[in-house]
Amino acid sequence: MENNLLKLNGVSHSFLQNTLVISIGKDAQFADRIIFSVDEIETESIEIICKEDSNAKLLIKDFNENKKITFKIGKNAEFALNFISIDNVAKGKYHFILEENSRVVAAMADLAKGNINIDVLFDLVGDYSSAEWHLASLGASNDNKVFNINFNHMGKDTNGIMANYGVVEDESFMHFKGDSHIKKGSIRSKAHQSAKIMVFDEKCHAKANPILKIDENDIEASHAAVVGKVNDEHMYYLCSRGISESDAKQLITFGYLKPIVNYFADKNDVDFILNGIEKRL
Amino acid sequence: MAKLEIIDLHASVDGKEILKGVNLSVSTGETVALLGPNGHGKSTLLAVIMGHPRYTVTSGKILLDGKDVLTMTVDERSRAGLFLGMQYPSEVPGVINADFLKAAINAHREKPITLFQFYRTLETNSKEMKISLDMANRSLNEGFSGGEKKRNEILQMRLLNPTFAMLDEIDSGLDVDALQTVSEAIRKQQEQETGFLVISHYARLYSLISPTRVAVMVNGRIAVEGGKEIIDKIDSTGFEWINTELGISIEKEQPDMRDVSIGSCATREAINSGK
Repeated sequence: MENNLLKLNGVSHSFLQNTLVISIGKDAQFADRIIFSVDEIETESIEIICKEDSNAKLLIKDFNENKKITFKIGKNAEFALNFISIDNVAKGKYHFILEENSRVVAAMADLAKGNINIDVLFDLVGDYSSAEWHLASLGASNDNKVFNINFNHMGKDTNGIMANYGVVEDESFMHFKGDSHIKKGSIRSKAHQSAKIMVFDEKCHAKANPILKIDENDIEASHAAVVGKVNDEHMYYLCSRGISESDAKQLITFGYLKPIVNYFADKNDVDFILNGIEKRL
Repeated sequence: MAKLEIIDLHASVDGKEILKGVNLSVSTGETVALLGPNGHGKSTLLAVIMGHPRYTVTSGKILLDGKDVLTMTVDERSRAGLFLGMQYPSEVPGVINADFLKAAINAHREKPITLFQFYRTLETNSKEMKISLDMANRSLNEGFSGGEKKRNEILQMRLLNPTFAMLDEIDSGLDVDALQTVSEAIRKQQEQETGFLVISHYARLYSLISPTRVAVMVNGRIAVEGGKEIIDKIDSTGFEWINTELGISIEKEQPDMRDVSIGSCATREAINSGK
């Protein structure tokens, strides 16, 4: 895969010790999503700087190596990050540092077979900075998948949203964890956590325990953590129309994971994810 | 001609017996109106025939053309020709209505329906039910109004063309126009010789779909069967005549204490309900 990102006008890169530093220039605007192949980079860590008022969408598909990637999002910059973990199992540590009025929307579609241990941290440093994390993950056979998603609210009027959806089957294990921490002084900030895992089989298990830590009074926060089996009434309703239990299960799983494509702008990526879900089911 | 036979059926939920020896049969081409006071087992009977997992059949038989329905799974019952239009259809978030309808149609066919055929069938039937095609792209029943849900139930009946259709208060939540649409679809299905077992509290629906027979369910049993005149009698005088004329005392529904909400006096509710 070619690393398109490094060849674009308005993007420069350099090496600093054992880090590749990629810089998306001030005011640079990229309408189409850019594919970024992490595995082609030889350094252990990568730093991506989105300068003031820039706008970019990045897609990461190849991330087999355990790299540390830091994203520095400048004032008023908008950055979308899409992860597709289907052929390659997602790996790595991702750290976002957001300056004033910047915005990040990150979404991961994970349908890969294997073990995952991903760490994501959003530091909402600047006032009015905003970060969203959306995840749809399917665990089957002996997969062991752990997603650790953290937010630090430091600026005023910051906004952090975490929405994790998972399905576990067979003997797999899934764990959604992470803290949303509203620090002292981060007034009028909003932190919303939602972690839901649907458990299909007796031998699979799942945990969802995101934590809210709040050190400020004038804030808004919500927390939802659900681990449970498929609603019996839903299964009954689908089966009452002649749909077999296994097909009903597939329809429900598909419906549960599919909404992640709303965060993928490129049609090819959407098709790839939908095919991936169908293949896994 | 096919036959659905319910023979001395007993069923319970959470250890409480609801059906206490139901005997009833419906043949194709017939429309049986099922009436009775609230809480006397009408909806339970339909749910038990369809195989709702919450209910336990303790004894009795359900036969569909001589075949034992009770040994069939819920989906097998549907594929054998049974359909239940539900009083409260489930909202299933994420499952797109069109995907669901297609899966349901395919479950009843050997060869999967082509995309073109599916959309043509869906378009024709949606038009008949005065349902916008946009509804096909929404999550199954999620955010549908009461009337939309009921029309979606009847749309499914039309698409699946069952041998026996059971309709549980399909007219509740329908305005006058929607009631006309729904009853028109039922009449068309009657022309296909489908056998109907229809629960309603209102004579209006029955006057539109002309039942061939009427059964009244009291205390978990069929208390009386007869012609359409029973509907008029119940509509004008209620159920008291069952007590005075037939000597069957109508058991009163005992409200569950879980129904008591904050704001009502739990002690008074307990005294009133005799618990």
